[in-house]
Amino acid sequence: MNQQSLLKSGEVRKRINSLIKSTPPVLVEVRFPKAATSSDWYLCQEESELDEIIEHLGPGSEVHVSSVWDLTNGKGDLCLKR
Amino acid sequence: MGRKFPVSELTELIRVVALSKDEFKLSEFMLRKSENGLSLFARVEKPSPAEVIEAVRLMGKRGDLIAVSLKPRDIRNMGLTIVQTPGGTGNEEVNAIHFELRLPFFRRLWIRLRRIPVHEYFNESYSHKLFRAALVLT
Repeated sequence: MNQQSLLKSGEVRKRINSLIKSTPPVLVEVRFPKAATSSDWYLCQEESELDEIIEHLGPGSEVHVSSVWDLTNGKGDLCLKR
Repeated sequence: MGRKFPVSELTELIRVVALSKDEFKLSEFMLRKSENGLSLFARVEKPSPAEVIEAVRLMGKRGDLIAVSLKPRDIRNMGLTIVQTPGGTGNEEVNAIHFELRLPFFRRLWIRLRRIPVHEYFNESYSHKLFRAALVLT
């Protein structure tokens, strides 16, 4: 997981888009750290679905994207921070 | 962090949960791998629980959100420690009343020596107790 990645980081976004295209769907976890609430979870088949999720996020939230085909998460997930 | 809020003055703590079929779930009280403690806010008049829910909603949390409350006395009786830490919302007033429920120092040391991850121990030992103790705020 790359915790330093920012939402505008083109490199991480490219890797996420590549993951969605090559092995859909992807599992998306939206975390709200230090906000006294649990994560929201989504399955995305298309980039546009992920865009819609990200569009609604405010400062402080984090998006973690993993392949559903590798739930052991050996490579770690891809993280975008708002 | 803003003002220090004395833990001894806490009367109630709240957590924002999403309702599913008019119920909230045990998973609302579980830690993720990266977390050391369960995040909660103090219940105070200003900011009110409604303002806390709104701050969480503005972060992007979706669903039918409500606040559930936990009594500090119940939490201490379970053996957990209440620690004030900065909140992560976009509202500074709300962030100033943020707390975490953590394992006491010697318990953390004990489980570390046994190589048990904190989140696994917390989820197995405390999540169901916190779930049972939580009451919906009316």
